[in-house]
Amino acid sequence: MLFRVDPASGVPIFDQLAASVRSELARGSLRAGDRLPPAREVAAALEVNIHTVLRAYQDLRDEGLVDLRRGRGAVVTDNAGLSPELLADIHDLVAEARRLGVGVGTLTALLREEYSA
Amino acid sequence: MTRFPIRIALVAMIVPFAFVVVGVALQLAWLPELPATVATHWGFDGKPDSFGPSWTMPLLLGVLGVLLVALFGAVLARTVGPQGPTAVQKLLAASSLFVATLLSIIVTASVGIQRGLSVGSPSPAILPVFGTAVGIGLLLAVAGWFFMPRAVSGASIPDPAAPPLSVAPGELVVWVGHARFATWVVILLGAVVAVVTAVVVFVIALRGAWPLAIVPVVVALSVLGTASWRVRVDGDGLTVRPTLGWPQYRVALDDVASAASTQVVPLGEFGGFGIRWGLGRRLGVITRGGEALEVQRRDGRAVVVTVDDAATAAGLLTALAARTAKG
Repeated sequence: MLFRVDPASGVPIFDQLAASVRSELARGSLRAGDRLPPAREVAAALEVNIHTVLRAYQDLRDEGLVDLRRGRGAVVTDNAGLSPELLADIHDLVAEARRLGVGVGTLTALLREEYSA
Repeated sequence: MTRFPIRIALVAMIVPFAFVVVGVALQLAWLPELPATVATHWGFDGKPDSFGPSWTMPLLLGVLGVLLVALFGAVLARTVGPQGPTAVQKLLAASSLFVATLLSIIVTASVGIQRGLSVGSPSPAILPVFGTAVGIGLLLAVAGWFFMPRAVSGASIPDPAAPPLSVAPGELVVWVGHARFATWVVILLGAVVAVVTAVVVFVIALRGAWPLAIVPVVVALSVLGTASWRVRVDGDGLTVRPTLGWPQYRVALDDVASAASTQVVPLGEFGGFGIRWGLGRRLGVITRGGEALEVQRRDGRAVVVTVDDAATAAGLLTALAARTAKG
């Protein structure tokens, strides 16, 4: 389980943490039933506030990707696996954006816009 | 198991088994000359302290001997690779020969020296027999070692060093993994701890030996306290920490020479599971076979820990170490 946070990127840290978990799910290195590392440990290792990590875990719970249980921590749910078709579409989308010279910031903004439409 | 070399089979199984068979056969042939009750166990002072029917000893040697030799043989047959035995495997084979020789000679001789005695007459001393048996056992084990093919290096070939992950200068990154025994192994270990506890409680009840109570506590702590390890790669380097928090192993970033994903054969390279010393100054935290993270230190020592997704961990450690080196 790999967490990466780039404080210089301008994206909120809890978003970056949640994104790390999502990409591990997509990569298949996190599977249903796996436990996320304790928020305390992640916070200590990255030198961020524990509430920031908890905020990320809560966002993931709101998306239905993990269950949060007292004493058991954050456990990946059964419906967390992304469909291979969606992953392939994302791959194609990014390739197309690169070809057209559209940066990750613009592409993310467009995706956000599409969601709120 | 493709080809089990005949020389290893000879040392680990055929000769030990022959010793057991000869021992049992001799004892059966001596049965008519023995008193109905023989000494079956000797105390630390060399005097017999336990007695039983005369058929006890051949039965004991037959069952114990065959079980032991079969156990050593089965482990070796399953683990010796086509390229030859590792030093640890040669040691196992020589141990099989040593144990079988020792057991056969001691049991057989202890019966032999009681021939012609009548019930109730004092049993002869056993200590000279014991010394002779250890000597012969060691000689044969050493001879067996040199009889076997040369040891091949047990160290597995690491996959070509994992490509370092790209890490931006100010970026904060942590990789967290787990090394743990499979659930059924933990259940098995729990059962072993339960049996040890039961035996100790029984002995305490019988003899009132309260200090023995420390045994199940130590066994439970050492077995179950190291069954699950958390493995972390971050700005502090590599940290491997068990549930109990001790013993903890660390490799600082500026001490990392290289990191790679590798494949571990527990019995062949480390002689078993748990905290292990392997060949080539490798400290192993081994909970299963297969994928593992291997970190070479600058002083030549290495740490090997069995985790999934080891390539990512190795890639991150390589990248972080490089970033530290640059300043």
